[in-house]
Amino acid sequence: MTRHMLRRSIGVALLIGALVANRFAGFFAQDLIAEAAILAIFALSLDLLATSGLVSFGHAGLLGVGGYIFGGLTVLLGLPPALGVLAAVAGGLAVAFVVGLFAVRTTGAFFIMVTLAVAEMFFAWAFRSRMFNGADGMGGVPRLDLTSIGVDLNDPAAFALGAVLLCAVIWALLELVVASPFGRTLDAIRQNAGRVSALGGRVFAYRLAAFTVSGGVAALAGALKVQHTNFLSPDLASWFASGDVLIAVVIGGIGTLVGGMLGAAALVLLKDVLSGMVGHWYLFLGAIFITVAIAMPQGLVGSLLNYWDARRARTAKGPEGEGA
Amino acid sequence: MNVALETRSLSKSFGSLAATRNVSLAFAQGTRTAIIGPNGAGKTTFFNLLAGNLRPDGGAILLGERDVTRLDLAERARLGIARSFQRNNLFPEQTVRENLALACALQAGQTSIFWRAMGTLRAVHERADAIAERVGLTDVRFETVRRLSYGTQRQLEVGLALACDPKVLLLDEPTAGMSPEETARMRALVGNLPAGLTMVIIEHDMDIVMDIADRIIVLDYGSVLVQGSPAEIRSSDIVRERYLGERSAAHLSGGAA
Amino acid sequence: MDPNFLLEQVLNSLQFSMLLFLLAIGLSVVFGLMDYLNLAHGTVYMLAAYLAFSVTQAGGSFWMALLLAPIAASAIGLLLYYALLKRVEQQGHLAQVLLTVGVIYMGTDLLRIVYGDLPKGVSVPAFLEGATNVLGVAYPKYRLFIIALGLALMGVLYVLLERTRLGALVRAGVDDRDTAETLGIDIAKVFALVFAIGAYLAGLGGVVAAPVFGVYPGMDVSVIILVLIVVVVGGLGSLGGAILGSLLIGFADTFGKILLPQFAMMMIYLVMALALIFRPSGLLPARRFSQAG
Repeated sequence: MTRHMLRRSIGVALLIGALVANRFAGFFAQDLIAEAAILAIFALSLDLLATSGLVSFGHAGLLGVGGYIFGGLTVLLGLPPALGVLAAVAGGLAVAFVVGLFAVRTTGAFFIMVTLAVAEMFFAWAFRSRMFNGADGMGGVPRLDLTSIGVDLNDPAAFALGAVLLCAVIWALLELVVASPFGRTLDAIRQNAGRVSALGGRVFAYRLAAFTVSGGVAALAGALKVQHTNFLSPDLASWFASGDVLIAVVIGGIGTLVGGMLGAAALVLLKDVLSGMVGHWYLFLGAIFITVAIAMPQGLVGSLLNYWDARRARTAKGPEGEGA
Repeated sequence: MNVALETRSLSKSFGSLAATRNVSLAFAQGTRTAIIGPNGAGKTTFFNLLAGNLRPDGGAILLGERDVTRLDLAERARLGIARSFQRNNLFPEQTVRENLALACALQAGQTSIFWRAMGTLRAVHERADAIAERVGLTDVRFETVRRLSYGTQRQLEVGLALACDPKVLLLDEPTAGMSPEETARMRALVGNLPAGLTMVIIEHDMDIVMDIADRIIVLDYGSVLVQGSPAEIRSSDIVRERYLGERSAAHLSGGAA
Repeated sequence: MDPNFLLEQVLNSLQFSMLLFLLAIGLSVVFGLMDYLNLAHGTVYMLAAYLAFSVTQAGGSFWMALLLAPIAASAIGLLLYYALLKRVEQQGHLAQVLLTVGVIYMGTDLLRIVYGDLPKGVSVPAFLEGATNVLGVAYPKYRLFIIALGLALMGVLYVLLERTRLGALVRAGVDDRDTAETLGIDIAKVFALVFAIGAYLAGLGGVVAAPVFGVYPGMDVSVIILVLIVVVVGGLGSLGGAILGSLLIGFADTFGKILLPQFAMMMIYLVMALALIFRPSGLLPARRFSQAG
């Protein structure tokens, strides 16, 4: 089994597991599954960006853009939710493109900070916005109306099912993108941006494209999140939300797509289990982060894949010797 | 004869250190020029200026008729200036074939395709295989670059530059750090490159230089000390005194690279 | 604007800038020297503030707290470094973020277990109580003390970095680590020392900030974001960058709240976005030829 087959198997297993759990679980578990699926979509968007070697610490800003566009159109203007979702995605693409025009010129820690700054600016606006009821937020955000095809998304099981299926679709699409010439170029840029330039590649343009698409997917996650909670607040775009998704991706294994989904599921589950069990649960969450960082700096999936590769390389070393 | 690449009064300084001083050179179509000189003579800086890794402080660079001075690295690469690097500068996590295919796909302008897998670009992979053959990497095409020996990686370094389908090929010390066997292999590889290709090579191994080049330029303290055919350089007093005869001394006297 | 009011705000800005500087310089040099993104730097600051509370609570004076708490915080910081942080030194920024966020979570909860959730106060020493006249403006003495302390430490650090052997080693390491190592400089040792000094200064910041802002769980997170911005705006690894960045952000924050109360928070981020558009490596980075990308 190759590295990619193993990676994809983990993703398929995870999604099937979520679907099976959703079928048999109760209300609270279904709520968690929906939450994890939405965080997973958000994590996928961050991981696509990471494929190009950029890590954002302000990705929740784009989540917020999606959420606020959806909330604004549906709650304030009374437009149909379907239109809200489309507008949220379009808005996410547009905002990411404009922000990317200057943010993508920086790299490394500087990119981390620029994205944080932009997200915090959005947060600051949302925090004060009278239209959206400022820091208190705004309730009554409707869910997508699929009654015409006999599905009521206000049923937690149906909503969770929808979120997991959407996550599966996004994952499949991003797998396609990552395996394409465009995706391979992003990966090459991550490994060695200077050489891509020397080969004639416009590094800036590829990164901008990745950031833009990533923004569209993040905004979609935002539009889902406000539907899930039926609530809109600046917290959507806070740096805690940016930190959560970043940690989900790092725990799972950056640059593996599947890792982001696994990390999202693990984080949602961990927070729920720990907060239900112990009072000072951040103590334990922190200990788990530290353990993962030290024991598996490549994340759960990343470390597993590396172990897999190393084992294969060992067993492949046959009579032809050391293999250089 | 057509001039493929030309510099006019090219200059570059780092603080008070003048790394390239007023260099005016022309490289005719299809010629093979070697640039030699002690460490710190400004050879790599000159390459960085030609390829676009650095912006000159003054002067101009022309590719054929076109002024490329203001163009960046990627734009010049697309116009046909390809380079290899003194230190291996590859995509370590991909296989040899993936490295070459990516370079070919970039050259063919097919890297904006996002809807089908890389593997479906057949022409690109055929070309990548042809280049692997040319640089002697056919047997290790499916190896991850990180696992290859240093010398084999050097071969790929040249292969990546070739994948750009260059008009002008700049090779920065292709044999740097190689064993004698690896050096011999690289010498054959470079010697067998297509005849029409304009090539500029930085090289320390004088046997290779004398063997490959039809013109030699000696750089010293950022300016052209002397240039001529291999025979002329061999008999030049100034080169003998400053470089060939006292090579070890020249190496020691070289400043920062 | 009323000139007295303006003067008061300028002093407020300076005071805040000094606090930012105390945290920024350690983070910046650690980042510049080892490329280590230590988000837990603020946790040391918070720890020192709580220790200062304990010292004063136990009957010690503010000065005793100012002497002891930073040393204790620095020692604990160094312990943390050897026990945990060092283990992901070679693993890149993301593993560092994960680990140091873990430290933040644990540190915050541990302090909550010991001290509870309610904010604590540390009182100002008697002779710094009240206000004094500065060019016709009554200004709290304690805040003037912060400004004076900040300026003095800038001077000390200037001498330390520019005039001593340790400073030369640090600058060489920040400028080009590989070359410094080939010259026989033990970067690991230099780094540990720098880490300890950085933690000491952060601790000092925590003690000094305690009487002004109070001591509460989460005080580390609210400050570390601002400090990261200072470092990024100023440029990595340089004293000048940390000073300039602290001043810019200190003033932007204070005046943003007055001029654009609606968008006070946006002001700092606007400064940062502008700085990075025009100077993607910060205003005064220590390393001139950045190899980023």
